[in-house]
Parts: sequence; C-alpha cells; structure tokens
Amino acid sequence: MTASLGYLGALIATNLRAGFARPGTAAMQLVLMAVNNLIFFVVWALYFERFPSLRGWGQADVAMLYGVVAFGYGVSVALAGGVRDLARTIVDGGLDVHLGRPRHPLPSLLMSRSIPAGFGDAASAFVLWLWIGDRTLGDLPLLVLLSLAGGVVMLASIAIAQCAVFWWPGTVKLADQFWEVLVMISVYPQHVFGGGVRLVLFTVLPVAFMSQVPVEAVREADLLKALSVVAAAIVYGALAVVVFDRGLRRYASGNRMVVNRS
Amino acid sequence: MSAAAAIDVDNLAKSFRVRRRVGLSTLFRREPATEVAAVRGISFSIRPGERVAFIGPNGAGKSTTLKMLTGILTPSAGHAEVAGFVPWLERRKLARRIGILFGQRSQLWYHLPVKDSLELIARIYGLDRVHAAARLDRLASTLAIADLLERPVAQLSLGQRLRCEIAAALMHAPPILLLDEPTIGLDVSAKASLRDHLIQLSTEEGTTILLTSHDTGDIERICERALVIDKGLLLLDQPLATLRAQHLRHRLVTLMTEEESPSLDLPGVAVASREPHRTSFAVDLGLIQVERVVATALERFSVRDLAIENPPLDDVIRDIYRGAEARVT
Amino acid sequence: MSETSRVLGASAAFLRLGWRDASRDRIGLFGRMLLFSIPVLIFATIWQATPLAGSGYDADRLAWYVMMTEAIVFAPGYVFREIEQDINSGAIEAALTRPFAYVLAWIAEEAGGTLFRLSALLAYGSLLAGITTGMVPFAWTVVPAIVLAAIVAAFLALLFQVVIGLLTAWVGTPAPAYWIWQKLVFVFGGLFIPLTLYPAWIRDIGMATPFAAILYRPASLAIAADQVAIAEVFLWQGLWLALALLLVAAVSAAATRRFLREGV
Repeated sequence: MTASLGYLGALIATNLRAGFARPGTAAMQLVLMAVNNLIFFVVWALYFERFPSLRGWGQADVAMLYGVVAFGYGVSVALAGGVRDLARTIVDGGLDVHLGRPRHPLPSLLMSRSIPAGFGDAASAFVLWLWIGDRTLGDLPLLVLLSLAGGVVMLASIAIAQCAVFWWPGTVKLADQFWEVLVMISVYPQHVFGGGVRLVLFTVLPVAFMSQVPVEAVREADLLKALSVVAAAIVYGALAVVVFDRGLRRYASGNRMVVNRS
Repeated sequence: MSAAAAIDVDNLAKSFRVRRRVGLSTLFRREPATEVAAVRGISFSIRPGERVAFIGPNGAGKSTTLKMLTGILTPSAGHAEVAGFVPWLERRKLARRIGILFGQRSQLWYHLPVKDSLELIARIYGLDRVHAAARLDRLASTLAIADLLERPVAQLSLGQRLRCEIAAALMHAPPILLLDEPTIGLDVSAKASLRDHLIQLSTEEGTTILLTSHDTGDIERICERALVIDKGLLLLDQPLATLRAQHLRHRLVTLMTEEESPSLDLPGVAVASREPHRTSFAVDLGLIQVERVVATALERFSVRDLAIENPPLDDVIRDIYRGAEARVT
Repeated sequence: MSETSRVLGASAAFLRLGWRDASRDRIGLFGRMLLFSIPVLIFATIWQATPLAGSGYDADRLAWYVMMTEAIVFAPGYVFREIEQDINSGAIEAALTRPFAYVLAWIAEEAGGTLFRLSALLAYGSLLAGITTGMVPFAWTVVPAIVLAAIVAAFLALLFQVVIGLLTAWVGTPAPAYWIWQKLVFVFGGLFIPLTLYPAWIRDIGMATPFAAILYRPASLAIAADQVAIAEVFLWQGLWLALALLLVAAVSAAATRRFLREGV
C-alpha cells in the first residue's frame, strides 16, 4: 500500500516537472486561464443582475458550481492530463510501454501528461467560492473534497469512453467529443432540467456528480448528498478499471489493431 | 554589376538580433539582445542558364542567403538583384520569376490530389486554363508524375512527392529555380532520378539553378559551378571541374571481405578506416581509377559486398581549408 | 489576365477548396452539430426556467436567439491554430514567396469552410428551434437578411481569428489570447443574454464593440426584424468589417516586416 502510494507520488511529481519544464510559459497560461474563467462568469453576474433567481438559485450558487467544476477539472487535467490521449495511445500501440511495467498501467497512462493551465482553473475556484460564492473558509475542505471526487468521476467516465476504442477502434474522435460534452454541460446548473435529462446526467453523462450534487450538498448541508458524490467517485473509478481491464484482455488476446486513419 | 546576370549579389550580409521569446519572466526583465552574424558580406554573380551549387556545412549561412534572394529576409547590408528585381523590395514581382523548392517543406496541400494543388498554384500565378493544362502535361511527362496526379499527397513516397514539388515550383515556368536541399532524405535511386529530371528540365528551358545541398553527389551531377560558404563567408567560387580536380578527387571504397584485414598496395590508395572484415580505402582519382581499384580487390580477396561513396561534404571543406592554409604558408 | 481577376480567381479557388474540405468532413460536422445542440438546449431550458415577465422577451424567441448566436460561434474553424503552426514550423516562408497574400489565402479558404458549416448549422438549428418551440419568430421575407447578417458575423469572427493567429509572430502561442477574446465575445456579444437585458452602461459598451456585430445584432434579427433594424445591423456590421479588414492588413504587414527583418 505504501509502495503504491509512493509510486503514485513519483508519477505525479515527474508529471508536474514535465508540465512546468518551461515555468514562464506555464505560469502565463495558468494566470490567463484563471482570468478566462472569471471573465466568463461575468455572463452569470449579468444574468442575476436582471433576474434575481433561477429556480431558487442565486449568483452565489452558480459561482459555487462554477468553482467546483473549475477545481475538479483543473486539478484532474493538471495531474492526469494523459486521459485526454488515452484512446489515441491505445490505437497507436502506445500501451505496450506501460504494459511492460510491474504496475497497473492505468495510473501511469493517465499521469503521462500534465496540463499546467489546469492549476489556473483551480486557482479561479477560490475566487469564485470565497468572493462571489459567499462561502467561508470553513466550507473549503468540503468543497475541495467534493470537487476532487467530482474530478475523479469526470476522469473515470472519460476513461471509460476512451476505452471504447478497444472494441471499436474508429471511435477516437468520438471520445474527444464525449470529453467536451461532459465539460460543457457541467458548468450549468442542472436543476432546471426535467426528469429524462436528469436521468442521463446521473448515469451515462455523470455530470451531476461533477457539479450539481456537490453544490447542493454544501448549500443544503446535506451529508447524504456529500456521501453520494464520494460513492460515485468510487463506483465510476472502479468501473473504469474494470472496463479498462476487459479492454486490455481483448487487446492482449487479439492481434495488433488495424485502424484505418483516413 | 552586370545587367545580364540572373542573380547578382554584392557584399550581402545579415545579422540577427537574438532575444528570448516572451514569457512571464521576460515581461518584467528585458534581457539585452545579442547580434549574431549569419552572413558576413558575400558577392557573386550567376549568368542565365547557369547551374550553381551553394554548399557549406550546417549554419554556414546558405539558407539565410537563399532566403534573402527569395525576398523573405531583408539583409542588414549589401545589395542583390534576382531576375532584375531587388528581392526584399519587390517580393511579389520577383515571385513570378523564380521557382522555389524547400526540400523539407511542402507547397502541396497534404490531403488534396496532386492535380488540385497544381491547379490551385496555376490560379495563384494567374495562368489561364489552356496554358496551365499544357504546362501540367509537359511537367507531368518530364517528371514522370502523370500517374500520381490523381492521388493525394499523403499517399506518395518522399521521392514521388518531391517530383511533384518540383512540378509545383515550375508551374509558372520561372527562369530561375532556387532549391534548398532538394534531395534530402531520398534513397540513392530516387536521388539519381530527381537529379536527372532537374538537369533535363533546366537544359530544355534554359533555367538558372542555384541549389544548396549537403550531398556532394547533388553538386557533381547537377552543377557546373560551386560556391562554398562557411561561417558566413564565401570560401570558394570555382567551376565544378576545378573543384573536382582539387577537392573532390577522392572516392571512398569500402570492402566487406572474408579476409579480416585486406591490404591494397596500389598507388593513390590508402586505408581510411579499418574494422575486422570491413576496410575503407581512400582512392585518389588523380592517380588511379576507381574501376581498377575495384577490379584488383575482386581479384585478390573474396569480397562479400562493396560500396563506392563520394567524400562527405565536411571532408571536402576541410580539404579546401587545408588548401587555403597551404597557399598562405 | 488582369491583376484583379487573377486575385479574385485564386481567392475563389481557395474558397471552393475550403467549402469542399468542410463538406467532406462528415464526422467533424456531426460532432459540431452535437456540440452546438448542447448549449442551445441548455440555454433554451434556462430561459424557460427564468421569470421573463416584463422583460419584453419570451422563452421561445430567446431559444431562437441562442440558436443564432451559437451557430455563429460554432461555424468558424480554428484558423488561428493553422496560422500558428505555419509560423512556428516556418511553413509560412514558402507562402511568402508566392505572388498571393498569405492571409488572403487563409481567409478565402476558411471563409469557404465557414460558409458551409454555417449553412448546415443554421438549417439544423432552425429545425431544432422550430420543433422545440413550435414557432418561427420571423417572416419568411426577412430570411435572406438574417442569413446574410449571420454570414457577415461569422466572417468577422474569422477575421479576428486571423489577427490572433498572426500574433504568433510576437508571442509564440496565441491560444490564451484566443480564449480570452472568445470570452469577451460571449460577454459583450450577448451569447445567451441579449444585450438589451444587460444593465444600461454595460449594454452601451457592448453595443459599441465588434462583439455585438458578431453576436447580438445578427441574432436579434431572428427575434424582431423590421426594415430599420435590418438596416442598422448591416450598417454596424459594415463598419466593423471595414475596420477588421484594416486591422488584418495592418497586423499582417507588421508581421511580414518582422519576418523579413528577423526571419521566421
């Protein structure tokens, strides 16, 4: 167990060193990404200037939601940016390097790349929570924990979507789009949707656990909701490992995949 | 300066100011820029129809000079005229009179059939349809690319692609052709065929060629004259015959033999390098013909394989320096 | 062949090339339609949940508005990335030795692709908006004006992208500049909230920017279009088009000067 944690720590450290190999550029991207997020929030500020409430939600709630996504997403891509290339790595035969190591290949695959701008997203979360979102310092531990759990749900569901290439090698581009759809929906409050859409947001596109449910848990001080986010992180994480392993078995048993990349 | 020259270069020089790219740290702390001289004042003149090699090691200033002659770089000092235009002042006008091929860079659209790219280029140069079609036919047959025209560039081998690139550079029938490393990355037979096509085209159309290359073979096969540049200075400007007699008079003959260390006691033959079962001989063409060396070797040893190579460019340049020193002392 | 007809002929060839490439990229188009549907549906749902009484708007009209702004946002490609690559790889050198302006080639090619994608998105978006709202807020007679305004808007967005791409000559990576520019378009252009619903001072700022000419003005035609409104939209778009073209020319000339002096 300690050895595994040490291994994960080493992966993260190496990944960050690579991401910040050019510290000036990385720092600039980080700052600009934070600015970028805050500018976009102005749209919401303008909305609430005109309409005080969106089905019971105010500006502070949307700010909190935006912060939860920014933090979860930001830390995820900063530490595990490799998830973005997972499908491509699989079809390009890049798995073999990772398979040759005496560890489960998924962590090293996910942590093979760092997107430092993610820390800019994460930094903007604190502005959104504490300044616009009217949260206190005491709320921070729970917000950070639930955002990270939401980040795990995001990473896991993206990884599952990317694993589709084990069975259907032509779906590389679709996996990219799954990622974009997920992030795109997550930054909007979801309680405005009806039952059908919400069912999707709790299952196939588990966006609810990345933004809506964490915010409701903090807002309503609802322990059950908080636990459900952590549970979702565990379930989706486990599911990702199972799907990946199944895919791996297929990869190992079959011949090299032949992909028509035209 | 002669008005009739295709390319006329007078004391051309270029230095760059080098500064680090903008990052967060450089926003606050300006670092002083340093001047780096790439070309330090070179002069030469090329007659219409001449085929000239522009050679030198990496970083010698070849590409910088070529860029100034195409008008995409302004010199720090000096003057040049290409086809009667000052390149950096009349870039667009000059563009219609020169064809350019950068060996490592494509001017074809990667995913389009070759023909579409060539037709698009014809539109850019304002060729009318009849003219363009006739030109395309002619280039296709001379360069042997007729059966490649319908294929996307992405599907072509490097040699095939480069022949198509030459067609692209020549669509508008420019009187001057500038080639930067045209055969880089090609295998031996593709190189040979590309060189033959170039010679045929330039002879038939009287095209002036200025080419840079690392490959002494390109220079020997295609060119009549060589300009040697090193560290931004023109080291040598000679007819190829002279260069060949003085500095390209060696061939490297490598023998793979059953014998562990064969030796050849022939005049003008010296061992250049030796490993077990593999010996390289430097052959001085002024004293002996390569054919005789090979014949003798085949006679005396059991040869499994052999290779005859031109001397690498670096050796030629070292030889030129040595010659220059010898003359001085 | 005259110089003008040569330039026009070559531009038309690039335009056709861009259109053809975009129309062949089926997967790319379907992906774009999918991504386009999501914000349209989200914003339409948010408007339905918003107490709009007294605002002068209703949720159905706003769904059409959002469909228009998103179609304009999703139509252009990422030409700034293409230009960034050309500059950073040095490929731009070969283009500079041709008797045809480098930026014009990209503008024409991207305009072709943008035109195709915009047509597809507007057709699909109208179907989507029509089915979900059960109404069409404009008269058929103003459809050409709406479509033209959308085309000019997407073209304007494309021109600004070209400027951002050319910034590579100075900053190396223009992506952060692009993302911030895009967010400004969203805020001051009125991506999901029409500018008229903003507080007066910020509405006035927005109206005076090119961002309004890109999103709010053309999209507002889908909600209410009379002769005066149409004329006003085209006036503003014409003004910004002229200024944007001047900006492209100036930045492109400055970038070229820099390349000629310092190399690519």
